[in-house]
Amino acid sequence: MTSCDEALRQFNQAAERMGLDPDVRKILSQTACEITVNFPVKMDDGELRMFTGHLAQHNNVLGPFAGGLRYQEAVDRDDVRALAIRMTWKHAVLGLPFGGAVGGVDVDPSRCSPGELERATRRFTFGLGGNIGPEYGVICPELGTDEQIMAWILDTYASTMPPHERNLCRHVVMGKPATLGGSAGREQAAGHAIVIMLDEWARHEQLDLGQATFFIQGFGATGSWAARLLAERGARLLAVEDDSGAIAHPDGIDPGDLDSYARLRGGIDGYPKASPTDRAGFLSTRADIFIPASPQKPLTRDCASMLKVRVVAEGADALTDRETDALLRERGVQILPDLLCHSGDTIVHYYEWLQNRRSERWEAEEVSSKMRRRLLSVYEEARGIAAELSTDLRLAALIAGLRRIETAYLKRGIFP
Amino acid sequence: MDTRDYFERAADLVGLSPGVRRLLALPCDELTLHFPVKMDDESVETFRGFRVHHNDALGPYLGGLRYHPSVTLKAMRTQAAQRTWQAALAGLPFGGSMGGIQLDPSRHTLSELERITRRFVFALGNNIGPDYDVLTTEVNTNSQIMSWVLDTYFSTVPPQERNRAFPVVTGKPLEAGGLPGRNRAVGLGMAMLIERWAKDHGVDLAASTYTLQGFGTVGSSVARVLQSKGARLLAVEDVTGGVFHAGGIDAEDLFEYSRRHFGLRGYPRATALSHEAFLRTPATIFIPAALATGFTSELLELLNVRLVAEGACILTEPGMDEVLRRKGMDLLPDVLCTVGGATASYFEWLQNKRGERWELEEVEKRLQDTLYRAYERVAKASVEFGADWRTTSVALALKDLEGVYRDRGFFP
Repeated sequence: MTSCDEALRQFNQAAERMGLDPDVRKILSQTACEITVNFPVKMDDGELRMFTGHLAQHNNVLGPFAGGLRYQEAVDRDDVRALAIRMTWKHAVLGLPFGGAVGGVDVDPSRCSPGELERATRRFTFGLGGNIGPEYGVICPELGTDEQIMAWILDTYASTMPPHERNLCRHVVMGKPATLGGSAGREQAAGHAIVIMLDEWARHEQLDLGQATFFIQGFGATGSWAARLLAERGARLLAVEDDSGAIAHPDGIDPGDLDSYARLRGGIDGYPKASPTDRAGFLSTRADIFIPASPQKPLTRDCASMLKVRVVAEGADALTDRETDALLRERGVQILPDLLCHSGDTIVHYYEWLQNRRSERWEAEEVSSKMRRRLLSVYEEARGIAAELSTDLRLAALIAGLRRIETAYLKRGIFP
Repeated sequence: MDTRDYFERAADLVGLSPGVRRLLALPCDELTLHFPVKMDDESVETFRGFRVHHNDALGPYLGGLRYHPSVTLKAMRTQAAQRTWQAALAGLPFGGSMGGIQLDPSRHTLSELERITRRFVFALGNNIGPDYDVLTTEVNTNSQIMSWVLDTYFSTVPPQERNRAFPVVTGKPLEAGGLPGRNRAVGLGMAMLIERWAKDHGVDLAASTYTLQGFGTVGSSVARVLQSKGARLLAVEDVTGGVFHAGGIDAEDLFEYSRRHFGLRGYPRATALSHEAFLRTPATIFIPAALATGFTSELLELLNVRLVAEGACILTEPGMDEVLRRKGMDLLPDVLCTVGGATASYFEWLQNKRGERWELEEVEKRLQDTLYRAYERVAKASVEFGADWRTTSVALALKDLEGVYRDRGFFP
């Protein structure tokens, strides 16, 4: 089964449950536009090499196409199509005025020099031509891309515009460096959103987060910020796993200290104030909360059967397939689904777009309080739908998003 | 129709630099679009359309819009590359593109076709334009459809700029800026090239005979022009069957019949014949002009003619040109033979850009000049290269394109 099939399976399930309008269903089960660009890049050795990039634009009824650009070896149209579909949902679920799109270039960035990466990025942007734009198709960082690549895209895009319009197009990319109009609070955003969701979940469960325990898979920006913000509230971090290994300490690990260590060493392995553990030991940690935040490590059935937690707060997209999902529910484990829980980057990207569009700069507090209000309201909405249709939160969140898209189509009609 | 093989041979022939070869082997970009259309019964259907931009080193993309169930990304890709070679060969300031919608137009009403066309143009958005990508008629699209394309594109452009947008499509009706003779330009151009070949080979066209496969826009228009030159049409075949008359078939009459009966089958003033008998019919010229010619090397062996003038590519497999050579048959390859269409599109585009109205005589005169120049280029280079006409045609195009890249370099 391809990733696109899985996305469409979830979509069809939600469509059945909510009774989605059949015409809207037909439209949403396909991408509006898929572009493949073959572009030449002069490599450092003077040779001309052809690269291939794809951009899938799934739907834009709610606003400009928006979503990530990944640089990954062998990425194909099916990959970006599945991701684009998920972006449409995520924006709709979060009530953001964006449609869904995702791009991918078949390149292993670790095997290119910075100069080659820059020329490839510029040439791809040039090849996309009128298919991107601040009010049409917006790009943000994803796997293998970062703020430097966003800056090159912006610079290339701006240089195709007449001089007096160049400053109007900063929001063609998001996740830019702060000096070019990037938003405050972006680094913490993904972790912060998880913690906002957990705060609210704990309130409903009448659990004191100050007494809670948790463990985390993945210790990049998302995992480490989620850990630091939870620790601030008094929660105890019992175990951590990343690509270098897994560690545990029954009395708790200081995430700030671990972050400094991991940055220095390039991983958490060998951290002296905790003891190493294996994968099975890590997964069977008895705690209140488990946060999987490593996009490359999906939760399999085996993983799920080992978990001894009350809630899984998904800190990356599409980690859980149907079987794992069913198993967790069977075992009484609650799930805070990716559509809500892994949303911090997406929300802050929208704020970055707004700030650029309005020529404003927001303080970090403003960004975080706005994000909190938005997340609480969509969480509440999804809980309401879950109760109304007696379904799980994942399906309920998706239905909330699809309802917004359905309304937009039914009001606007089909041109011409 | 896989033209890759000829591309590789042509690239070898001119020693194309590896970078430019890699570049030209792939289209610059390709789009797949899904778009919703309201049907007459108020239900909504989604359709799949494509547009492939092969190369624009020589100028804006120019390519057809095809409505047919066989439209796929792969088919469009091959066609788009062919358009690039054609424009370069004929010295037109255009690159190659191609697109279409996967549908059977006979299953839709006119008003559905209008909405499908409009919604497709809307979905193409910025990917077409008079100085970016120009559309033209192709299989199952006509001047009515081009008018809808124009009108829809107009409505996306600010009022002050609309009159500059006319050249976004060619093959328009005369009243909407169309060119006299555009709709039969492919056939006319083929007849001109056949006439030129006859002259060069001491063949009297008025005493010649020919057979024709496919009786759509291209086939019927080439037959009507050849008839006016005195050539005798011995046999015709389309998807409904084949017909034969030793004394010659009246192309005008057959055209009327086939329009009324949606095919040739049952034409009373000729006898029916099988596909094999059709292919075996001895004649001076054979003109394949069907969408799917279905040729293999074995079927090629059956031909008994002096010239194959391709309205559609029949040399679909490597080695098939060897059969022609062994049997002593000349070939006017489609890349050269059908260039009248792109040439007339160029004239229509020019006419619109300059705000002019051209007369039919002027169009025909300039068409002949352009086609003869291309013909002479290929004839001369073919001797120089010692290669067949198809490989030579593509090779000439590649040389021109390489020159542009050498001068312009690669951004950034």
